[in-house]
Amino acid sequence: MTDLLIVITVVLILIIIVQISKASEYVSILKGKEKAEQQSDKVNAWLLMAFLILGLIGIYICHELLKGKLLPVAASVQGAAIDHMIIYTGIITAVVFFLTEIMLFYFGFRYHNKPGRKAKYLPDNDPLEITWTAITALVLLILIVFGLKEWFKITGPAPKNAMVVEVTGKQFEWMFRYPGKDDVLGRKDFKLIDPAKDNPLGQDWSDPANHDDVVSHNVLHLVVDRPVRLLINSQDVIHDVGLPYFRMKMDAVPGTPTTLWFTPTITTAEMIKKTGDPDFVYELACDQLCGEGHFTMRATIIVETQQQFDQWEAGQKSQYQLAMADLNPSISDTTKAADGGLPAADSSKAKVAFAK
Amino acid sequence: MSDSAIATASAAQLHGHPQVDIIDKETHTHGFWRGGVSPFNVSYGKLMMWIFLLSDTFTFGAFLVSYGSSRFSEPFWPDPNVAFDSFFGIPNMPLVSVSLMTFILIMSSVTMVLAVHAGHLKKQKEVAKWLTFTIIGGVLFLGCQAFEWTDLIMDKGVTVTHNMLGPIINGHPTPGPGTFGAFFFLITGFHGCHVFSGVILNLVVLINVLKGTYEKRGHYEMVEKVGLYWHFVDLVWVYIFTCFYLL
Amino acid sequence: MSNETNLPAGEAGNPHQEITQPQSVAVPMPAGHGAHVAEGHGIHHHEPFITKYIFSQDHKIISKQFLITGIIWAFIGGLFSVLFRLQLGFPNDHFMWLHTVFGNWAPNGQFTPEAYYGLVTMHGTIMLFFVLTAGMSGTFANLLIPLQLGARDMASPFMNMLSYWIFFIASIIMFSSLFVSTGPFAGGWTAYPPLSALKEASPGSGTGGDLWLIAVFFFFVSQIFAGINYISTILNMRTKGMSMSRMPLTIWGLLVTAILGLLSFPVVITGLVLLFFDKHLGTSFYLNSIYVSGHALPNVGGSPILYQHLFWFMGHPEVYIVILPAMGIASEVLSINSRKPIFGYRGMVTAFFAICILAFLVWAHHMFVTGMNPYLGAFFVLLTLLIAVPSAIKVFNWIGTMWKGNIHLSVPCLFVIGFVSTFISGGLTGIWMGNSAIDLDIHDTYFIIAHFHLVMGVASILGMCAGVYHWFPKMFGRKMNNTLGYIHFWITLVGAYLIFWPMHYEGLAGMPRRYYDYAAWHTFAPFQGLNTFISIVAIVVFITQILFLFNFFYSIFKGRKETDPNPWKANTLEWTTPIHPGHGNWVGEIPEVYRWPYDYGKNGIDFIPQNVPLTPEEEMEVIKETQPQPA
Ligand code: HEM
Ligand SMILES: [Cu+2]
Ligand SMILES: [Cu+2]
Repeated sequence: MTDLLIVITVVLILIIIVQISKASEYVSILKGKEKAEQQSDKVNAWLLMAFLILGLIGIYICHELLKGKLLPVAASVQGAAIDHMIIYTGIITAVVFFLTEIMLFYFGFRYHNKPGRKAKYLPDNDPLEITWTAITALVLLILIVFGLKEWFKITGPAPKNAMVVEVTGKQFEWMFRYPGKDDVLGRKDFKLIDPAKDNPLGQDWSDPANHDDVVSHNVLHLVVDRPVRLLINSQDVIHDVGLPYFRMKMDAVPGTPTTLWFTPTITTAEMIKKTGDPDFVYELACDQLCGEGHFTMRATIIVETQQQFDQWEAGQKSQYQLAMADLNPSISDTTKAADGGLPAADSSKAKVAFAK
Repeated sequence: MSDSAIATASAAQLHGHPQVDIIDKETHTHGFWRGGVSPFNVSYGKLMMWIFLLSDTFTFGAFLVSYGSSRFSEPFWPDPNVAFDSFFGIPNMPLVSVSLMTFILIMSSVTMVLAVHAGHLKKQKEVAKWLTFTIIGGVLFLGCQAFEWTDLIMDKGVTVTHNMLGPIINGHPTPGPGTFGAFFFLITGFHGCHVFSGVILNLVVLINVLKGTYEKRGHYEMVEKVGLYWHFVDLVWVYIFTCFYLL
Repeated sequence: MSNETNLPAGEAGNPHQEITQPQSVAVPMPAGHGAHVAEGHGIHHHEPFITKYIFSQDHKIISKQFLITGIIWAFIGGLFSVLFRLQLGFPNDHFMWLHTVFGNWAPNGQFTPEAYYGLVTMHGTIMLFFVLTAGMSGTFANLLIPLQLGARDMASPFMNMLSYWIFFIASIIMFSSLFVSTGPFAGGWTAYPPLSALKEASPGSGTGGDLWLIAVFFFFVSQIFAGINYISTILNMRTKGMSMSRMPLTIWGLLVTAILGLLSFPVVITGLVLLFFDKHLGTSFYLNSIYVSGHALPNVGGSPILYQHLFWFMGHPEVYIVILPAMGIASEVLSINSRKPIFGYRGMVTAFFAICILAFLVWAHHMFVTGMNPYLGAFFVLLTLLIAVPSAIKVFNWIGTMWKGNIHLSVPCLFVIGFVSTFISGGLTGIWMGNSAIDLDIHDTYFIIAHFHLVMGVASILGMCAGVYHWFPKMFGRKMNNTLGYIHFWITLVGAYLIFWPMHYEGLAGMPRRYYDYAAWHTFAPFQGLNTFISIVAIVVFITQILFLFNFFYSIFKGRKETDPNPWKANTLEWTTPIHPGHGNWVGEIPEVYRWPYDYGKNGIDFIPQNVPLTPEEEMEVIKETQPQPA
């Protein structure tokens, strides 16, 4: 019922607007083209001015209303640098924005058509044009130089002491694999993937490096102040590891692993204190459309001290243990089965060997 | 004004001012660019063909660049001397058949040049003769290509998805990169389509030549247009040849 | 009559006077050439309806066909955006009428995620390709190229007609994809594989995706055909005296647009062909090591990133294809309404060329987070930020044009001011994302949505509206209702800012684009109130467009008749044709051109059309300027 009412009101309003508009056209004919034009020019000139002033106020209000909803301080070294860049880029663009928009609307107001006003014939002004081109280019070059410095720092090689975590996206979930005590991630192959047999990543159990690898689903554990290098994979379509609190992001591309490293600086516990929000969690969002469950591809990140991390890791069963427990007791059988799957699956390795 | 009047009006716009005698008031230059004439001194039809070919260059270019990027990301790529070693069923004749194809296509370009030349001289019979040769060349090329495809598919085990020309490991052939066949058939097939449509176009023009359409029209520009297309197809083949057979 | 007052006494008696006679056609054509057969109407009234209005080869009719098809698509695309905004704005409400209308797209009064993504994808595809590319270029290139350059028609009217009908086929196919049982394509307008290649990954990538691919393919083919025609017409068919440096900026914009399309569409076509092969022939161009819906696929060796390169090689030029015609229209309309020459014509043309070249060299800025080589990334950062320079030049020149003008704030002029404003707002954020390090933060968030909707979406729609209001009298011989135009403008501009400005904040908070629901997200759920607000404004703005639709279609049939052949007192040649130009545009000879199109207010004369010969004094000036100075 209310729906119908709304529709009827809207239609009525539209009809009224149309009728008024038609009537005002007749009025303007009566007034004469010239006069009607001047009048509407004047009204619109004032509207331009009003739009400018209300717009500027609106920008301020919008900022006041929304700034509280922005993210808290960047929780990584790199993120802090990016925030810094955003701030100075923001200031520069804001200056240009205010200058140009104010001129635009002010000129529209100031020079609107009036009897007796004559336009100035001014086809060009080379020095002026060259100046503003040069200044624009210069400012942009400065932005480029500072920006690229940061870019190379961020995309450069990760520090030696970085911990490594493998991130794998699939529809619609995140999986994280930690190398365990040996600090080596074991071999895997997508043809070995078998969630039913507790092998969601396709780990090759014949590789001993796999035996202590821990896999967690949708929760990522990181150590504060310790650089972390993410090795990013996808099993099906392109996903994206979005880390808003760390100001970072990297695609997960099937068949082409990518990497990303950063240094978290604030533990979850500290962030809870900082934000005063007891429910605070770091979230990892998928940022690349990956199907109908895209918006559910959420993981949380726990940033903790090394000690807490070790404790957590020690309490985890490795995926190998989980898989073997599943298939108990014939461990040897599974290894064989996995081996059996190998030759076909691993043709790419053979290719490499041949090429050399 | 009727349509024909418009046609003549625009024809006059194009052909009507052969000698440019008005000085551009702004730049004080004589020039094709000041309007009223074609800046390239060509008719719009030929210009459109040129522009189309420019666009088509980007199609082939994109295919070849994609091919290159795929190929260089593969650790192994079949040796063309192995993949293309059969000459109409005779083995161990690497690249002979493709050389023949290339030769045929280049010769057909030569006959096309002669056809266009004859067109300039308005020699109807000559035009028809050379066009016929060109068409035969095109058909022969397509025939050779059919043979080559058959050989690859039937004998070498290469299709758009499979490739049995992989590395030999312990004396056993293994599957090679599937993109080899995929790109090969896609790109040569796409080129083949161009040749095929070129043959059709040439045929249509040939029929018109024989019917005397261009004689009546007073010029053989149509022959020039299909000529442009034909040379383009030929040129593209040189690149494809280089990318797939030589490198 | 007012013109007379603008004529300085000293000028009386020179040829300029002729054009300021309000009642005459503003074409001082040589006597004896039927200059005063003002009504070209009726030249063709024997033609049957089907060749006159349907399979017409007249560029003006084709232009209208593109415009009307474009408007219909804009309505559908806009409607889709309102529908998916309903989901974002009111995720907890069930609108039963949605179920009534959309059936199993909205089983309990709420769109399913798959339907939501279908709507988003269709919105993007329709708006970008069908409305702002085909609708925009198709309308204004077809209308203006022959009319402003002084040609009887396009170089090849037949191919011109063909290009419309191929576009029409594309439209039909795209529309039919909405009725496929597995739903329309839902992989985003960018159609990244493997999502778009695997129907196991997204039901929409099945038949819906095939239809999408075919439709988009036909669309590109039609635009290549059209582009070939536009370019050859511009190069070859200019009337006498219309040197390149005397072309209106609209034509420059359309020329560069056509070049961009001509060279970038073939590349994306190859990308789509490869995708089609992957879908149906089992090839692995884009597929590698995939495990989906419970089994591993046999495909190895491909790279999904290859598609992105092929796509964005078109994608970036495409965004300029969308904006350049609007820039041309803006320049023309702004100059006319300011009664002042466009400021820095040469700078404008140079900027067009700079954009033309740079637009091909920045595509990978859409791919900063795909794991690309950082040095390659740096190269693209450099060129991306450089492309901001020509954009800035244009903005400064528009503002310079308004400075000390006598600005008639007509409806088209206001739309142009709106265009410049949103172009600035959106363009400046491009500088943020163009710096790859910042893009790591805001890529694929609502910040991007805000950026491209302001700079491209809203700006070109405003530009297109400006064009429609401005050239409506030329197209239909009638006027649109001004008051409705003003209302349309103000609500649209204010609404656009209300919708897109706050999105910057959402983006900075990391809110990802293309999410169906944010409720489960601690970080993004607080924006629910804002999302509701945005959705409400979007609905209001959409309803306002109905006013435009009404105004447009009503005025075609019932609008006030235009009586002045040159209602805007403009210089370009299209206003020298009769009010209803027939097939062939000019009665008698095509006017010759003697000057550039921006002689507004020169020597105190309000306007001097291009076909008015130079006065002896002006000629002296030209000679003085071009003669080498004695050493
Ligand atoms: C002022 C210069 C500009 C710069 C530096 C710039 C930069 C960028 C960058 C870096 C992106 C990628 C952002 C991302 O996905 O993370 C982007 C996206 C986009 N830009 Fe711009 N841009 C500029 C002007 C324009 C213009 C003039 C248009 C259109 C007319 C435009 C339309 C778009 C569109 C449509 C997208 C998003 C495509 C998508 O992901 O769906 N940009 N821009
Ligand atoms: Cu996702
Ligand atoms: Cu771009």
